[in-house]
Amino acid sequence: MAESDIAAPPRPAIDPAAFKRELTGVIPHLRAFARGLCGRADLADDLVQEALLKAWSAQARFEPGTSMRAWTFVILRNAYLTDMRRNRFRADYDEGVAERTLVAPASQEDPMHLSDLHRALLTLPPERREALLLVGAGGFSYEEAAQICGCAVGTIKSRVGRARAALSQMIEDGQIPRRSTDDAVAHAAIMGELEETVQSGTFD
Amino acid sequence: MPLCLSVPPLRQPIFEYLCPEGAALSQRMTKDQPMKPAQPRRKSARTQTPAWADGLKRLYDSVLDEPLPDTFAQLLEKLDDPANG
Repeated sequence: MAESDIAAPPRPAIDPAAFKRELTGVIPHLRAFARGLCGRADLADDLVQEALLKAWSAQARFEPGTSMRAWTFVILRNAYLTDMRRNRFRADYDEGVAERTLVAPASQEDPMHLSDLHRALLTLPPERREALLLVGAGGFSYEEAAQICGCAVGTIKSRVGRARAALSQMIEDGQIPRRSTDDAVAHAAIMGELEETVQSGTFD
Repeated sequence: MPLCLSVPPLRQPIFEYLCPEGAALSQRMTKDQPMKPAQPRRKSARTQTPAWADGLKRLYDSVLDEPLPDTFAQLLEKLDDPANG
């Protein structure tokens, strides 16, 4: 093994100003992803701030020309998982924000509140929820989502499929969790699943 | 390439939006999906998505449209501080 293999050539570092510009540009996306992950706006924003600081100190590892959004999502996701384990913060739901935005899809008989959807989303196991968020809301391809989550493309496809099926079922059956009471249900579901994934080590 | 979130109007089935390759991939997916082996997945993908799939996008986009809280501007300012390098 040659010497040069050991000392990896320094990556062309991104200009800090450019890095900061790109980082600033993805903040709204980080907030949206975080909100979907943890439900509460204030916690989500704390998470984004944490991720931004981490991204900033890790900027030498960012490869210019690659997706800043995908890169920072990985950081945000890791911060989320760490916080979940450490603080076990509840995937609480911020009623205010979604309630203000009423969804009444045109040509749909029963209009649906975004807040209903958000609550339903929060009942999903975290890894399905994040897969659906990435692909169905964030617009990532299955391949990109798989990279972000550090798993196989097939796994992402399966998670998205299951998440979609579960949501559809919930909505079809009118079994969307109600406001406060079912927070407990959602929380239990999330924490239970997290416990499993943490223990089986598949969610790192 | 940041912010490549150009969203087509989601009147089309979200599945096609997610998989621009369209029907071919959709059929492959049908085979690959072990979840509901007996059910024609293509059909469910087309019929069950619109209402909430659109809502999911809107949930996400509604956050994108929010003005950034001041705390973010403050944080970004702090980043330039050499102590944060």
